[in-house]
Amino acid sequence: MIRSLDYLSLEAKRQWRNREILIFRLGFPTAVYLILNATDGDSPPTNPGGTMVAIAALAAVNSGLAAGPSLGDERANGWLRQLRTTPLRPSAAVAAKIVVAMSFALPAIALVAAVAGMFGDNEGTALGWAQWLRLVGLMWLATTPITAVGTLIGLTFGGEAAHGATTLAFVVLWLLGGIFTPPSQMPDALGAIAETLPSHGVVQVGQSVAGGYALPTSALVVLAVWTVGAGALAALAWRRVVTR
Amino acid sequence: MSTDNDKPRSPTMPAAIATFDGVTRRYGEITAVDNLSLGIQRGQTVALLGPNGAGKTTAVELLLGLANPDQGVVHLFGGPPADAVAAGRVGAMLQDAGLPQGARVAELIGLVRSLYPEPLSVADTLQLADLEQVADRRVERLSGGQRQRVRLALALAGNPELLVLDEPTAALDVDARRTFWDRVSGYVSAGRTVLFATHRLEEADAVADRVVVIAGGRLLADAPPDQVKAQATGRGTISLAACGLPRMALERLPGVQSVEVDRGRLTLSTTDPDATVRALLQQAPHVEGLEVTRAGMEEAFLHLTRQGGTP
Repeated sequence: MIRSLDYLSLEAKRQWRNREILIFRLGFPTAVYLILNATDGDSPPTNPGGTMVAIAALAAVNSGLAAGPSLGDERANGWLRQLRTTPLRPSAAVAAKIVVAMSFALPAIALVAAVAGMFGDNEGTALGWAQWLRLVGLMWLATTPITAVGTLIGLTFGGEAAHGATTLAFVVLWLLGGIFTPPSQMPDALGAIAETLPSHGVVQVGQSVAGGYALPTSALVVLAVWTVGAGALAALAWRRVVTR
Repeated sequence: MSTDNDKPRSPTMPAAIATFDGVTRRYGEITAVDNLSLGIQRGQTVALLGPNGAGKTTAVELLLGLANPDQGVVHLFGGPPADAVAAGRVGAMLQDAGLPQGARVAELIGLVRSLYPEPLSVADTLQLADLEQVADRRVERLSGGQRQRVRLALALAGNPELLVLDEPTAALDVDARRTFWDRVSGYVSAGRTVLFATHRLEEADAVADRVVVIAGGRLLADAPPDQVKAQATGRGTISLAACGLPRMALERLPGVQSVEVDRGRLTLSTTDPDATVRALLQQAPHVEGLEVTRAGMEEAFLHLTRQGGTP
């Protein structure tokens, strides 16, 4: 247990002091929010939470998937195999990736919400402190299935392929997940797909907090099914990675 | 084929800490390790010698539990390899293993040593691998040689009973190779066991006190290095178009083992090409089309098999 924490701490240090990672995971969603806010400031929000919730969900997808390329690289370059010659439990390496990905998702979501609170002018609802904390905290928890998807990608594909698959997953979760276009405004088939994606679940969590209504059960089911499903597949992929 | 394991073991011989018992591992059509039986005793420095593609890396992976045998059993410290690894009794340097980007040298050593029950200190490990100057540097900013030393440091940091090194000096020049082995032998003198894979006969000869030769996944020889070296060096073939000597005379030249004729060319295989050529030129100064070929290590190893395995 202590050993796993040592590994986690090194993994966290190593990623948190990488400037490019910081800019991409924390700066990118915030910048997208500010640009959208500046170009499209006066139009009324189509949903509770409007652009803030949409871009916070983008931040969740962006950080949540980050375990993918990182694991893919370490599989390809042999570091995971080197670790397997030490007493570290192999699963600790994967767990560390998940925890560190989540550690970026929280501030990434919070930063978007904070900037929206300071500069946003189309959110429709002014959030109180408690509501703001609930929004950030619950959207962060809803990032879990996306982290599981990232881990699955990293364990299924090595190296370059993991990067490609992560980009593809990012685009699908972003464009089809109802982050900008609500599923109700998509063609029927695409709308039906959107309703089943975890990124849409993250958006729904944000909207329900901002709009002050209960989260639809369907969103909870989608988030739970993705967490369990992607998690179980990742565990299977892991078994294939560790025994040759 | 007879191996060390088949010989009656004297009562004073320590029990093996690592054993391969009839181990076979296939990858698709290729049999990477073929019915390998082998025991490694505590305190030995064993070279696993063989040409590229001989199955050395697979043997190392089987020993470390990174691969599972299709047939046979691998034991490490009396149990499954994974248990010995989990107990921190093994340190390994894999071929071309990468390092995680962004980690600093001392941090990485600190992490790995913390995983073992009785590790070296970070300072000792840094000193042993000559990394004191770059302790605070991130691994992606190291030179190739420095990175190699970091990988050695990670294998040593846990102060393991068994050190397993797969082609550890492959990327190093001659000087760096010598220094590398000086460092390892400094560590080994404390009575630890080392198994290293190499395709360099001279390296096995210089470093090991026992050489296990494999090719095509099979055990070819298992002996002290001087015996293996004597078997594996010096052989070659001499081919010539014409020399005016009768075949009988060629067969009597020093070192010659056989003479073959093929499309007008004579091919002599010899255990000592220098002596054979010298004698040949004395007896037949007008040799035409002379070609001398030194046996590659692979041929030398094949010769070892023809002799029946154990020299």
